[in-house]
Amino acid sequence: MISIGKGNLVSGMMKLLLLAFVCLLVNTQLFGQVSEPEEIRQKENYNFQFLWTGIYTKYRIGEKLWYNGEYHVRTRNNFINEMNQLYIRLGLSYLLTSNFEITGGIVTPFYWSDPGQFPEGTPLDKVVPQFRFWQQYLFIQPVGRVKVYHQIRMEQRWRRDFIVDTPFELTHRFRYKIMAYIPLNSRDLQKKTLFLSLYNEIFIQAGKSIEVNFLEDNRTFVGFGYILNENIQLQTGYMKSLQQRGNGIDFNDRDIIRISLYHNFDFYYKKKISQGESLLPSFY
Amino acid sequence: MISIKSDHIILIFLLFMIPTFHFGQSPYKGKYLFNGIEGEGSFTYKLGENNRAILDGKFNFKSKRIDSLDKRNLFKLQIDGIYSDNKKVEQWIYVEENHLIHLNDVKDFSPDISLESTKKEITANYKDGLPHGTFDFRENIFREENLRVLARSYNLRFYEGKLRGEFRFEKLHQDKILKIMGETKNNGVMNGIWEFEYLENGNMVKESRRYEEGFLIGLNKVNMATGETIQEVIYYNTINKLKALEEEEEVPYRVSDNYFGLTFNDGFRDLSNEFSGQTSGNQLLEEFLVKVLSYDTLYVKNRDELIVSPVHTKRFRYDLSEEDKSHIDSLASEFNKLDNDVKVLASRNALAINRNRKDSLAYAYEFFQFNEKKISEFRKVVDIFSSEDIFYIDQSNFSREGFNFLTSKDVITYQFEEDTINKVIEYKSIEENDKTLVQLFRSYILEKQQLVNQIGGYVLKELNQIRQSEELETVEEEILETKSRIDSLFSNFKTDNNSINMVANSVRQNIHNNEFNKLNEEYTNIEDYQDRFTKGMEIVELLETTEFVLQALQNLENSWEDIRELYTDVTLDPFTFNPSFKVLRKRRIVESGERVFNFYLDQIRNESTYRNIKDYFLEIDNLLFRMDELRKGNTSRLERRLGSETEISQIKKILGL
Repeated sequence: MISIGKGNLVSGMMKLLLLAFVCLLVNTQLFGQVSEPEEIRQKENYNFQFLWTGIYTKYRIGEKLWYNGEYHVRTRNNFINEMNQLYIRLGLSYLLTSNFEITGGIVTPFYWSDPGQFPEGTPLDKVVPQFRFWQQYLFIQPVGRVKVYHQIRMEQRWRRDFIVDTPFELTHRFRYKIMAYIPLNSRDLQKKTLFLSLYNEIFIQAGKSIEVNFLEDNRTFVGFGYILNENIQLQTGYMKSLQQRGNGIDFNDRDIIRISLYHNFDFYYKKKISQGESLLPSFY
Repeated sequence: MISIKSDHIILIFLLFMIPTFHFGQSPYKGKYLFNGIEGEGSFTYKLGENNRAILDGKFNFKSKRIDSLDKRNLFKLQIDGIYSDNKKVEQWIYVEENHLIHLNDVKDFSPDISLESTKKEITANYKDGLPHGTFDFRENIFREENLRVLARSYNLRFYEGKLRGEFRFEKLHQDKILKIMGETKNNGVMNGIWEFEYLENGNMVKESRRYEEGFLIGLNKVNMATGETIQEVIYYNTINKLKALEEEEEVPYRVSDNYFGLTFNDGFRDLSNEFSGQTSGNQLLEEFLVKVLSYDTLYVKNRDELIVSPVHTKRFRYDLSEEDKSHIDSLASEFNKLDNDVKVLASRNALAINRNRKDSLAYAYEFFQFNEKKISEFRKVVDIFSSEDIFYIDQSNFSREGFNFLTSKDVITYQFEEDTINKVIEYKSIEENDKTLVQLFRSYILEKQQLVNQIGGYVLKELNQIRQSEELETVEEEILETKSRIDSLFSNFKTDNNSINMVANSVRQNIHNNEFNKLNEEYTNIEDYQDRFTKGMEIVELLETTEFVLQALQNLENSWEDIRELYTDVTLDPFTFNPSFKVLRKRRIVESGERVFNFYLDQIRNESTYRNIKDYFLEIDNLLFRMDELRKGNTSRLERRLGSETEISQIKKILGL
């Protein structure tokens, strides 16, 4: 009988994740190549640098219900020189089982235009809003000490171009993210744990206006997280984003530094305690 | 079952009750105890207060018992009489039989049995529960197929419970007939000539006495076989006193109005002729009275002990001056003190154990043993003097034979280091002849008391010194042994908690070594025993404290971790989805409590006086208990008050410590 040790399991998992990233990257390239024969010219990559800072909040308001909020500020042009995006994502999360969470809500991002990306003289709105509904299914897969997360997110986006008076159009976006947290200094993801955070997420978009650039984005992230206490976690890292541009040929090659703060609070516990109830955690 | 007690009678109802027989009377027939004898009773009774049965009317009792151990022995009793308001009245007949069967042989399956029986019949008369009227006593014996009289009375009469008039009693004993003939006047007072015939030292003796209205004035004993006079006692003193009274002389005595027992006594001591001469005859008389009154519990207890006599003697009553009474009172208290002091010292184990250490202790030990015996003899006389008996004692009679415990010299013989030593004690008080008896006793007791005080004081001092040095030795041994043991405990003390280890090291240095050395030095420099002993006990207490501290620190090794664990819940982290994410609840309480906990540890670490150190552990216990309490319930307000408070006293106040 062959037994696989935990070390082997983790190593195997790492290989699996790397394979998944490679496959997704290869797929991205294949998307490019598929459309390439239709193009006369060579594909061009446009490089940008961004800094994404964000606050992620989850506040428990019921036994299995959380308020879910994300607040992002994103800057560009050598990371910080120009404002790029303000972004608020709101939702309610419900934990169906210990390994499956569903979330739904709205997103209200604001985009700052980059005149350099348009022919000179094009009338542009400086800031363009957007509105989205979003739904998310999160599957949690514990693999030894590693946590693997499969996140499927769908968004219905009403958006428009920066060119003045451009109408809002509905498009759809489907996202799949595979993510792993690998604790580095302890066995579990507990307080004071430093962990490696890896993910790859592929964005597929669809809609009337989407004709060639179905692969909206592919993001690969490598970073570190730290669980400060039961309420606060921090993450920072580098993310590579490859976005298919509107012509379907060229790509935005984005280097993104991400700094994120995660905050959670258990209002449900507080409420129960204030009512004098003894609260033993029971989620399922 | 209903049980009703009436004097010595216990009535047990087992059978059903029959409806009222006469007005106020109920009949009873069933199990009944008469004078402690089980049997069947048949009688009528009425109910008194508290449902107490009052026997009233005819009474019949039958008992038949085979001895539980000797099945050959049969006892039978039949009583017929009449009660009136629970008191015996009119004629009563008691018939008691004792049968003993001897199995001599068995021939052709036919037993050869012989019977030996006694049958006692008493026909008595009563009035108001007291013997009144004729009493006829007869006891027969059946032996070897012959029925013979064993004992009987003649002309026995009672008047209101007292024997009255002439009577005769005869008893068969070893083929001899023992006799009593006598006469009593009113109230059972012995009078005139009394004659007794009994066995004394194997000889039949005829004793003649002459009484003058309860006063014995002469006694003569003659060997019936030889006609030889064995003993003759003329109570001259009594005769003279009676004569003086008859001639109405002024004398310090008179005839007492009281009635006394069978023995005439005017202060005669046990061994005097006047006293001892009466013993045999009185024994026979007492035996006779017990037989006759064996079913009358007023006179006879347990059917064999005369407790009240229906026959009496009289005595003189002597006047006592106030001075005499005062002397007697003092005598009793002085004697009691002496008796107590001697007993205490004689029974002192420490003296017995240590008596071989010194000659003087060996002597003292024997002195108290000797006097304990002597004083117990003294006690009998003092008891007589301090009781009512003193009024009926002619002190010249009483002291005539002297008192063997009243000696002018005591020789104390004791052993010391293989030598037998005699020591003579002389009492000067004996030599002074101008004292009354009581005064003599008192001065003797006081002289002895002085001696007891002197020797007792010495003994106590010596024993105290021995005890003190032994106690100090014990304390020192305990200190050395405990110190060494705790040193070893400190050396081996190690926990996984560094703070606790540091505290243990500090306690070892500050208290177990430094303060111990300081107290030890003080102990060495003290000379007074009590102070030295107190200091020694202080050191023992210090060591007990350090041992306690070690144990308590061991227990505290994980105590705060346990508190944190207590306050830790396992919950789901909503970002990592770790379902067993440990969350510390009531963080402010835990952190404030920890601050106080560490404060106490610091206090212990810095403490240099063992007396204070236990208090901190008590405070820690309180803190841990309080932390346990605060885990439950809503403590939001308390947590808000704690805020970021760092002042220990404030935190303690808020936490309710």
